[in-house]
Amino acid sequence: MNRPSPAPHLALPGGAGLAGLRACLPVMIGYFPVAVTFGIAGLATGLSPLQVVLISMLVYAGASQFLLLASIKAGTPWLWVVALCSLLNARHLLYGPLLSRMLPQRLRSRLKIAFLLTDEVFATAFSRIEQVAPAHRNRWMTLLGLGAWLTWIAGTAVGVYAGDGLERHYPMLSQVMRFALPALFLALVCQSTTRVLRWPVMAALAVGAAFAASGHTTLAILAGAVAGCVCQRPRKEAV
Amino acid sequence: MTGSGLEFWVAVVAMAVITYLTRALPFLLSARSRLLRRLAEGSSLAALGPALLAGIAAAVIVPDIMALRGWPQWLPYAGGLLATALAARRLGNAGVAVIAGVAVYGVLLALARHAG
Repeated sequence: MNRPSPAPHLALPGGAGLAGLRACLPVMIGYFPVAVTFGIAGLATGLSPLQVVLISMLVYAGASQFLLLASIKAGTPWLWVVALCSLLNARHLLYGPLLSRMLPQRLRSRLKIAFLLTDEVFATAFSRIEQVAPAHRNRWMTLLGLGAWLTWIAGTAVGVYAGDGLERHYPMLSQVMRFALPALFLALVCQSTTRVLRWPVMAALAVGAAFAASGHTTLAILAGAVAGCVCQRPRKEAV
Repeated sequence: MTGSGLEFWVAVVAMAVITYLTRALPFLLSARSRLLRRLAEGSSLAALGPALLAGIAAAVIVPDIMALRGWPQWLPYAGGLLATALAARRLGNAGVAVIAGVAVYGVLLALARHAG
């Protein structure tokens, strides 16, 4: 990901919180259809509405949540699911060090923000937080994260309680909304691919696609990740 | 694993705790931690995040593509992916890219059905 160039701190009309929510708007619009899809898919897996909404509230990680549904469908052992979830989430370990110098120093504030640190929230914060005055960053970041989290929960609830009606009355709308998930992952890949990481990402895509095409979708994720890491050369050689 | 019983809740709580820990651990560890700095910077593990995302993208998109039948399904899907990729590269915002991709997919799907 490109490092943002330093920019003068923005004046924040309406306060830092409102600015955080404004920065969150594209994330909210992107999350809503995916969350609705998750709600519909959760019910289709045989879970109760409360179970589906609680997953979104507690786990709050799109890829892991869909993995959970796929595992319930396939009858995968829960330990295997948890292990895969850990691997999927390992990328989050990178976000803290990258954001650390821009976030408030208080550990308590950081630990609250950590719960809300999804891929999209991280990407938004990474590109914009330097434009927010340091004193306002805690509030800005909190509202950015809360806006995304509440949208995710609300979207899941809509999918659970109104998804069936949406499917019946607007079948094409439902089909179009399901495209949000592949679009979201493609957008994240495009966004996170820097010049240096171009070949590792291509390798991960190629190997992942080969495994997925042969019907091994869970292995595709792992094999893609391994292929990407193997292809990554040390920085001084890669540049 | 099934959707009922203790196993389900153990898995959900474990996933919630693990997800939170992966987000919070870097803040709990020293800011001067060499390992974390290596993760964020030049080491081969720096490719792990983007490579994982690419692996997930392949796992989500490829089965969809294999289920497509005929150009009225192919064209909207390919157009939607292309619009998403272009918007993500040009605008650098995943949310906006998703909206652009979904909109293009929807319009092409409607046109294909109209034409068919």
